[in-house]
Amino acid sequence: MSTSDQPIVGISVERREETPAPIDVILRDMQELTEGIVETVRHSLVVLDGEMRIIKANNYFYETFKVFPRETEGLFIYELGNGQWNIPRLKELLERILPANNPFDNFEVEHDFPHIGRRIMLLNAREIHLRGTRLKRILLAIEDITEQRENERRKDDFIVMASHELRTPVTSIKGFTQILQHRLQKQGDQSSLHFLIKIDSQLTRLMRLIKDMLDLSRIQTGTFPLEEQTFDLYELLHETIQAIQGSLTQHTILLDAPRHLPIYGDRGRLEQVFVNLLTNAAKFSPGADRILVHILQDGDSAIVSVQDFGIGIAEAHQERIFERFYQVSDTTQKPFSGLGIGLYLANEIVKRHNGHMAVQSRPDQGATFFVILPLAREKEHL
Amino acid sequence: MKKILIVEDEPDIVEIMQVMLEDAGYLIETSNQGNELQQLDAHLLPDLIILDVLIYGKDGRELARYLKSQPQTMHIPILMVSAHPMAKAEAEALGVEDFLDKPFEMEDFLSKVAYHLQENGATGA
Repeated sequence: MSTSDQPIVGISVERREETPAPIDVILRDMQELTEGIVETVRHSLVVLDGEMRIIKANNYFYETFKVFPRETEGLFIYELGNGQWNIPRLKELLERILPANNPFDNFEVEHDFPHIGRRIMLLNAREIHLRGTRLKRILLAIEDITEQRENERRKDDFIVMASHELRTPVTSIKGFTQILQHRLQKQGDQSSLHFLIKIDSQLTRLMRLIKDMLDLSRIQTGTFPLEEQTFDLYELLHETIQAIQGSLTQHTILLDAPRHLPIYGDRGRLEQVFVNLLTNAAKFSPGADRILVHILQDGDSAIVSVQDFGIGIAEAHQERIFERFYQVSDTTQKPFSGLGIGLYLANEIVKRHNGHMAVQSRPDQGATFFVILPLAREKEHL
Repeated sequence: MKKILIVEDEPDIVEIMQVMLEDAGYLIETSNQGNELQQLDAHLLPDLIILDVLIYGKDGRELARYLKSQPQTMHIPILMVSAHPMAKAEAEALGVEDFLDKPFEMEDFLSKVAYHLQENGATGA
């Protein structure tokens, strides 16, 4: 099969006419633009036919893999190099694209490539339907993410090390604070005790920040273990609320829930989710005096809602608040402290339990956060 | 009086644990490397060992493995402590009785210690 005169999107070359009609000018400009994009982007792009033969690749592809068109064009993709793309799962994904228009994203290949060594590549692929010729093509985009991964790993190593180093002095301060608290309590020195309780509660806050930082990094690296067991959701919320209530001076948390809703999951991690929602509820409702917690059973799921009567969240922010490092910044609102990782972590934990989170809110009318979790199946019951 | 050995190389942490435990009425010995454990007479053995996962110049995990393999010491409950995020799973794999994350709450620390001393006494070991 000849590859040079096959019309491919943005790649075929048309003959120049003497007096082009405006439509041709537009078409040629578009052609030029497309070709410009294909050759300029810093991603490797490959066009395949339905047989998985390479019709064309862009400059960036040749630069990245240090190969030439003559050893690439016309070959089956599986034959390239030392068989780097000859992976059963990739083959399956590629061959599913054309029959039913099934694109795929983020297929990861780690391989020892000829000329360039061990690299990690991320692949996306789409169908291109050329209606004029009734031809179907596959556009394959390849991104080298080796360095990005290496940087992520370094960053994660740093965070793990930093959190460990931070924990050592905090352990000392925390320990001595508690010994002093204990002794002052015995001596009945209430006014000094008051200061120590404040130091202790700030330390708890500092520890939570360190822990969040570490969890964040573990989620990024995929080393976030869950210790799963069956437990009662009511009991967990009851205990969590009692613990949080102690640190609240202004808000009363009211729980309305049926007992005995068995959940199979990591009790400590889910506690972390509810601690986050309850502390947020208090933090973002400085003028309110109550927080409502409901648990409902809905079929095979439990729905926990945490409702506050605070500043609320504008619609534009609602979809983004579960993103990492996202913080609602609004010139009309007073800034709130925080790293912008609490809700991200909560959502990630809930997702790892096959659940999901949602929010309902209007500015100045408070916010309600929902955590939807599957109930434990019979065999997971205690 | 129950005797507890603290194997930890951070002087502040040793002091904190020692004061907390002495205030609670235990007899405390401390060691920064745990070497003594390999030469102790049977009647000098502690009722509980608190062992840091990473002690200077030596790996607390190796010491735990050794203690759990020796007939004279295998029955002594070990409470491992660490500030390292991955240490808990490792400690569990070593077969030690319990694990405590640093930083810890005094209450959690004392209740874990009390629990294992009670268990130990009850089994008559």
